Amino acid sequence: MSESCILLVEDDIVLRNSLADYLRGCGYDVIQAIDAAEARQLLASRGKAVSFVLADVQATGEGGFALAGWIRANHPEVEVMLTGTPTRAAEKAGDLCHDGPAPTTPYDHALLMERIRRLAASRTNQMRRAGGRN
Amino acid sequence: MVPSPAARENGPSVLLVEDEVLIRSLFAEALRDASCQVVEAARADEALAYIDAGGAVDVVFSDVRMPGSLDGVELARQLGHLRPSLPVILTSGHLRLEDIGGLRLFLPKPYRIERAVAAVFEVLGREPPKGYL
Repeated sequence: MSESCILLVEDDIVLRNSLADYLRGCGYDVIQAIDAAEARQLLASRGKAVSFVLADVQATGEGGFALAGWIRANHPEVEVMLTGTPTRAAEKAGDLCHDGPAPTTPYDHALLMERIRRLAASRTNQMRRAGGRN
Repeated sequence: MVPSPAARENGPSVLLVEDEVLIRSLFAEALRDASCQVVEAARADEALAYIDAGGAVDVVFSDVRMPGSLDGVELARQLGHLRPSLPVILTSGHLRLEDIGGLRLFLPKPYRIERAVAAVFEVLGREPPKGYL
C-alpha cells in the first residue's frame, strides 16, 4: 500500500468504481465502502494506512456528517472530504488528482467514453424504473 | 505531493460481489496485485445494476449469502440469461457444489486468497502474471 490511501464511501456502484479507477490512475491506493458502517470497519482494520476519506454526505446509514464526526474523534489524522452530488464528488476527486490522469492518449479517451456511457445508461435505467413505479 | 498517473492494468476485468467489506477489500487488492481490473459490489442487486448499466466484465466472483433482494445463486441465474458467456464463480461456506446444481464454478469457503485469484484466471483460460502465485 502506498503512503496515500483514499477511503471512498459511496453507494452508487457505477460512480464509486469510476471514481476509484480515476484516483488509482493518479497513483493512489483506494479502498471502497458502500456505506458508513463499512467505512468504520475499514478504518478500524486499516486506519493507519488511510490518509483521506471521500464520502457522500448522504452516505447510507448514519450519513456523511455523522461519519465525519466519528472520524474526527477517532482518527484525527485522517482528512475527510464530503460530497453532495456526483458532480461534486468528481470535483473533489479532481482536487486530489489535479496532475492527472490527463486524457491525452486514445486509450484514455476510450475509457472516458466508456464511463460516460455507463453513467448515462445507469441514469436512463433509473429514470425508466422510477417511471415504471409511477 | 500529488501522485503521478500510473499505467493501467491490462489483466481481466473482475466483478467481485461480497458483502463482508474486509474480505472484499483484501481480495480486491490481491486481484489488482495480479493485474486484474476489479469492480467491487457489496450485494448481488448492486452487481446486477452494474451489468445492467453496460459494465464491461470478463468474470464474476460472487458470494452466495448476501443481504438484498438477490443471493449469489439467483445472480448467477440472471446473468446466465443476460450474458450467457459470462463465467460466474460462486463461493459459500454454507452450501456445497451439489446444492447449486447446474452452476459448476464453485469455490467453498474458507478459501485461500491465492487459490481464489488462481480460480479467476483458470476459468478464463489465462495464466496469472509470472511470479504472482
